[in-house]
Amino acid sequence: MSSQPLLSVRDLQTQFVSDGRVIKAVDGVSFDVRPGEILGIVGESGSGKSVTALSVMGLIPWPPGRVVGGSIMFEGEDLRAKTQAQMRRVRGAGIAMVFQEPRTAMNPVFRIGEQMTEVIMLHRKMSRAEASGEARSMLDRVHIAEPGRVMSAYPFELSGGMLQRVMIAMELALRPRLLIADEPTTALDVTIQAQILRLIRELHDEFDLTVLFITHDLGVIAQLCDRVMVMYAGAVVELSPVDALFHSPAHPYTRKLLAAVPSVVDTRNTLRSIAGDVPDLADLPPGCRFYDRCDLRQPECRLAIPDLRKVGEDHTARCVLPNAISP
Amino acid sequence: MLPYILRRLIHLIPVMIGVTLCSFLLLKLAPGDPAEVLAGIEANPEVIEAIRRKHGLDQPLPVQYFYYLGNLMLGDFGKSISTGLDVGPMMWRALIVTLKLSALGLVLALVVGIVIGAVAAVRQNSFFDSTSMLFALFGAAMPNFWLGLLLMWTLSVTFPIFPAGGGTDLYSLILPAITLGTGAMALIARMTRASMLEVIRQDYIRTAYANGLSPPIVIIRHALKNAMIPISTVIGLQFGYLLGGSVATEIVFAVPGVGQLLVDGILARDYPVVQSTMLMVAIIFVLVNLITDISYAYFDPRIRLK
Repeated sequence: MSSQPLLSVRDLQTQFVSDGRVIKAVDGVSFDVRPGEILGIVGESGSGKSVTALSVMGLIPWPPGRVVGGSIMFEGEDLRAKTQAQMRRVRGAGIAMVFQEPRTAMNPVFRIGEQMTEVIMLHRKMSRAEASGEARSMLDRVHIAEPGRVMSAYPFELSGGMLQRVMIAMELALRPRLLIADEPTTALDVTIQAQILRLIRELHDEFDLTVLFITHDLGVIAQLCDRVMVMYAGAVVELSPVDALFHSPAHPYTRKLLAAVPSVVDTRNTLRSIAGDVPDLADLPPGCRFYDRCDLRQPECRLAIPDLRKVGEDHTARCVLPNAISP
Repeated sequence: MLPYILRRLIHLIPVMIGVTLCSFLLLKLAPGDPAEVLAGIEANPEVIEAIRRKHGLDQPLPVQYFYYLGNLMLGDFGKSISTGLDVGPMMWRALIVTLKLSALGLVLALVVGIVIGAVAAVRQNSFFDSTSMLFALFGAAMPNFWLGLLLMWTLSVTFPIFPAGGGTDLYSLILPAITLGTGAMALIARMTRASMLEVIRQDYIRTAYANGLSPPIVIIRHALKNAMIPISTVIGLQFGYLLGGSVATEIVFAVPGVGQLLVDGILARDYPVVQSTMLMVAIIFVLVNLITDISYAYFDPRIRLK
């Protein structure tokens, strides 16, 4: 992995202001997305996954939120230094994004075909007829049976699974170098979810697409991703290849997260959860953010946030004693 | 779409019958005898009786009603009791003036209201937002006749830019149209703002931005069409209110419209004029509602296709 990262985020800080309190939704997040890989971001609600993605897109709504620090380098250019007009050329064509709820992510008063051709014409400098043809062939590519009928349909006439395919087709028609998928299967049925994941995998292979895949579902990570980044309370706690994460999780939080996945084999156990609460993002403790919920906490954990330490090949964790943990 | 419109038109028939019945009965129930009014205070009973017979006022109520209905079917609105002229042509002349005035008022209200509302929503909590909404509050609370008098005083008396009234040409109708449209404008501005604020928070707006579309395209094309759905119903209702509410404005500016005709008719107890005018206003109100529903279906495909 010597090639230049496609996306390189360093020390990203995104904050929201609410009732005069500053909420550090993303606090010092750094990661690289390498060309051609599928990087997963996993974490519970409020861990900063989506805020990280929206920060990269420059779509944090001000007020109340704003990116206050760090750098976001995409193809060697700093996105934070770009003007709004320059960012509009990156959005869609450079980095495309697929959202969680396909039913609300498409405009209810325009036909599918209109919505697709509009953005294809914009980014690929095509005529309306060419863009329409491109939309049709992309719909065909995501296994939509009757592209013509779907093009003239309104979003409410299609199922959630169909719409998510349409969204993916619309974004890939723009030929982005990076696709950010923010929980694209969370709102769908399990069977549809599997189809969408297979589709993303397939398109990743075919278009040599780089994907940043956000989910709270470790099962999805295991099926789809090459590497995974675990987030907790606005920070990265572990970054590793997928196999290593499942076989030798280094951070206590990751281990508890893995233990909380219900097992099909052992059905006698009740559902397990992680005791305690996520710290208040407006009033973070000085030390490790997982301190209150950690079984292995040390006195020093309370004093300062541990650094990300190397625990294996291409594997880092933000814990003072990763080596003390037996897998 | 066409079967939908036809079905709505058929629904109009019972409504129309109800309207004719109501307008007929309301006036019969009102105190006062038109024959006495016509004959004058000192007329003897024979003269009054003769007038009654001449206008069919001596017949039983149901007979009078069916007589009236039958004439309506033939396009005969009757003759004015006070002037003896055919009501039909009088009414059309007045209607055209009122429609012109109301349409001008509505266009003014729509254009200004939607622009102000949309800008206020996009710049929420800005200086423009708070001042425009304060003015909208004043506009909605200001009675027509008072606003009309203020406008007349400033723009035709102090600074004689516009005529003080009496005309029916476009230029003379500007002040009356502003007077009439201000209330609707204020309401449309506030509704557009609220509706836009709701819409610009939606996921599909974020998608539009994430696809690199520019703010003007996102706001005007993607947001406004969605925001117009709730506004389109209000527009229809407002047009109805403008038609009905033009009475005070027409009297302030001496515009010879339906409102003026109606008030004159009521004062003279001129049954045919009042009945026909009420009927026409009701018909227009119902038609406007129909057009509103159709425009609703245009803005929202979910209604059209169900």
